[in-house]
Amino acid sequence: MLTALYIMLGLALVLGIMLGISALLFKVEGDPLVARIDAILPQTQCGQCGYPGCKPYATAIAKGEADINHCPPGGDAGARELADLMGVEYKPLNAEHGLPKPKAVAFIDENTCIGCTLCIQACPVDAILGAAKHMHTIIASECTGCELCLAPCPVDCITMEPVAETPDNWKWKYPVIPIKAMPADKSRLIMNSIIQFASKLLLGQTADLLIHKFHGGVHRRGHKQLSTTLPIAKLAIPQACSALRQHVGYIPKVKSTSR
Amino acid sequence: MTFDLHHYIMILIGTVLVNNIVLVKILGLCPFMGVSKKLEASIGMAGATAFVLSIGSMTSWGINHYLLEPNGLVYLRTLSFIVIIAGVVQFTEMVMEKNFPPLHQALGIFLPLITTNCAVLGIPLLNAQSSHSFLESLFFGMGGAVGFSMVLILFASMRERLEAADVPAVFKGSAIAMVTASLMSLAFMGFAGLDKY
Repeated sequence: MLTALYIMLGLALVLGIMLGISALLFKVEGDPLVARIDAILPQTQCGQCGYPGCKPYATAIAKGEADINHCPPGGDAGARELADLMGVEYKPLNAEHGLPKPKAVAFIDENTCIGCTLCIQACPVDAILGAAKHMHTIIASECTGCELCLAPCPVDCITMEPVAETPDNWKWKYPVIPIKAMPADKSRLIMNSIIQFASKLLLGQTADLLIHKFHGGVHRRGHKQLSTTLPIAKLAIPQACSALRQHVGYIPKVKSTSR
Repeated sequence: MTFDLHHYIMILIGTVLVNNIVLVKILGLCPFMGVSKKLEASIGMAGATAFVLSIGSMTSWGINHYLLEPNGLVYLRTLSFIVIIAGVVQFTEMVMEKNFPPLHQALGIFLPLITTNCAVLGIPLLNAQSSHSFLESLFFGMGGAVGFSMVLILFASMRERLEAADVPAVFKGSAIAMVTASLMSLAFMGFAGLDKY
């Protein structure tokens, strides 16, 4: 009788300790899905989606309450990325939440401003500097272009100025070639998803490492600088050479990526 | 004792096709009906259940062979197996929540419910009943896992097609799924006798 008790107690104890250890090993901070959706959203906090900010919208998507196409600032690319993450069909942006506009920052006409602080209270990212009965101004680098300050201004002194193209934010205009989808072959799709799942299960996050992260390999976004900062191979220095100028190629500044 | 490959292959074929855990032994019907509406979720469920089944059949063999039988506590089998399975399921859930959050979301309540999945408890109990050796129970568990996964994925692909089919109103939903499952079960009866040679 007592042996039975001991055995069950021991079993429960061993399992409990193992689960406790693995709970520490596989700890999840917050909801990982919400964090991943939030990382895709543009963080304008504009509320055009009908939620009070980007994080609440991300939570709603994760819960399945909101659709993926309610974010105009994120644009078409954002909706595509969200569809990819959530494993649902891509949908064009829902026009009733607004249309994507070129990136802009708010500008306060300081001659007209009466210092009422209403726009400061409306700003979701605290990008407006000022005090009661003092002139307000916008910190352009903090402004997300959400337009929430336009409505409360009693003298309509805030305008949206499109962000001028500077060497800092200029991007290559790549030619866009539309990619045609292959005719859907259901059996191939099923096999693909099985293989993908199996390789994910077997390799876990190392699959990512194997394909994208090794030096000299095909890099996807976020790992692009892997091969540009280091030489792919080293050549021996020749015995006789005339030194013209040392040249190591173009080394871009490695920005710390938040993702 | 030599490693008799033929014997183990027969155990595999026997559990995957002939005595398929879902369609012939009619165990584990809740995930079979509950998670088979979407192919992707069913693949995830199949993977999770297969993992739990394989690990569960191995560990419960160890508990049964080294702890319960020498002490004459065979009556504790069901209880101790459930404790082990619950532990393995909790572990699987933690791993999945960390590494595959969308899948974790899609499986929802069915993931912790693997604990009370009769297939997962049934395989270790059948193992203990037919006093299998360690390798035999390992193959039995893996065979059950493969059989369960295969049938679940097949059934999910079929239900995705059923969505588009013109089903009479009275048969819509679970009814036509049950009919389909029973037809599948009939088809699997055709494998009977395959493991006798």
